[in-house]
Amino acid sequence: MTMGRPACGRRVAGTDNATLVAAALAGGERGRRAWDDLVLVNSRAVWKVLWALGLTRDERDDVYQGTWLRAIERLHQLREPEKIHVWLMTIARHEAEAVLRRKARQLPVGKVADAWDFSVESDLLERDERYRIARAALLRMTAECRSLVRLLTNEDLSYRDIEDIMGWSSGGTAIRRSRCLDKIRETPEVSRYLTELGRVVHRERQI
Amino acid sequence: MEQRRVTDTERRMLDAFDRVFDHEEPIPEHLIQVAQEFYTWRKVDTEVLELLMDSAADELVLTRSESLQRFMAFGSPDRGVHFECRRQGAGYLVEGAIVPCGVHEVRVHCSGPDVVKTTDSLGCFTVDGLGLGSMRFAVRLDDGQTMRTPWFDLGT
Repeated sequence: MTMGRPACGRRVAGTDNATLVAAALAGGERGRRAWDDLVLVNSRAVWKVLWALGLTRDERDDVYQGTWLRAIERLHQLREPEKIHVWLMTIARHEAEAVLRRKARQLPVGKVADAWDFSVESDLLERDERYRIARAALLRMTAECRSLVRLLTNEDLSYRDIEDIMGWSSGGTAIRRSRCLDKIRETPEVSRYLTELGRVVHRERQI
Repeated sequence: MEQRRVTDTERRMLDAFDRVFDHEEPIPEHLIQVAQEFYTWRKVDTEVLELLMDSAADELVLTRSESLQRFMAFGSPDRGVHFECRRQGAGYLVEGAIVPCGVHEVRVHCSGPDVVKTTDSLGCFTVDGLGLGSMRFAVRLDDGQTMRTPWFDLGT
């Protein structure tokens, strides 16, 4: 397999998950490199689930490792290799449930711990307005909405995928997304930004 | 697979959020490396050791005032993981040996981060501070072969 090293969470040019899974299962040095790439390409998807579930830092680290360990053990059982990201995210949710059960905690489905309050370099906020607006909007969201947005940022996921991954009943995610995005649009920062963006898009379309 | 319909505006918005998550919720680099190393533990190449002996199952648990000793062996008398464990504070101390002798890598998969030990030349190792819950041993022998135990519980 000839490929450059993918950046974490980015698609691998010229190949795809199914190709990587086949190579990893075949074994050998090529298989090891394919596994390395599978980890790189899909780690962010797994990581987002762990954040979406409101795990603590230690729990996230444990579940992340447990997820990949289960994955390599069961890779030969994977039925849809092209959807390995969905499979991994579902394993992550199950692993998280197991960790939380061991710690006698209830999985906070629908009631995610609201612990998103990072400090960030003021320099970045000052020089990158789009970043500042996005961050401000995220801070205004409920934890549930923020969790959903984390999953929505993965374009490869359908609503059905998200429901399967999170163990949600089917059919409600589209509505949940709609409500969530409506609230985001109503935040002062995003509202101003979208107004400006709308003018830009309108101008672009006229050109 | 049915795709979500995403407008240009929504895509830009989600891209902006994704950048924030990327920046403020990064994956620790060492975790990625650990996940990549798991390839050597894949089932197709790894011998799964069967339980050979468990003192608890044989009702040979020796109970002293505040300690509990348990002996377990996986594999066979001449190839596998043999160890004894006892309570130590809130966790367990495990003293074991890998058979055959040699300097091997022992990885303990448990509810916390993996614990990695290198045995001495006789194949002996000690792990302390192991928590409660399910765990298993995975071993990379000095000749590159790998073997592991099934998941088991030391106690509750």
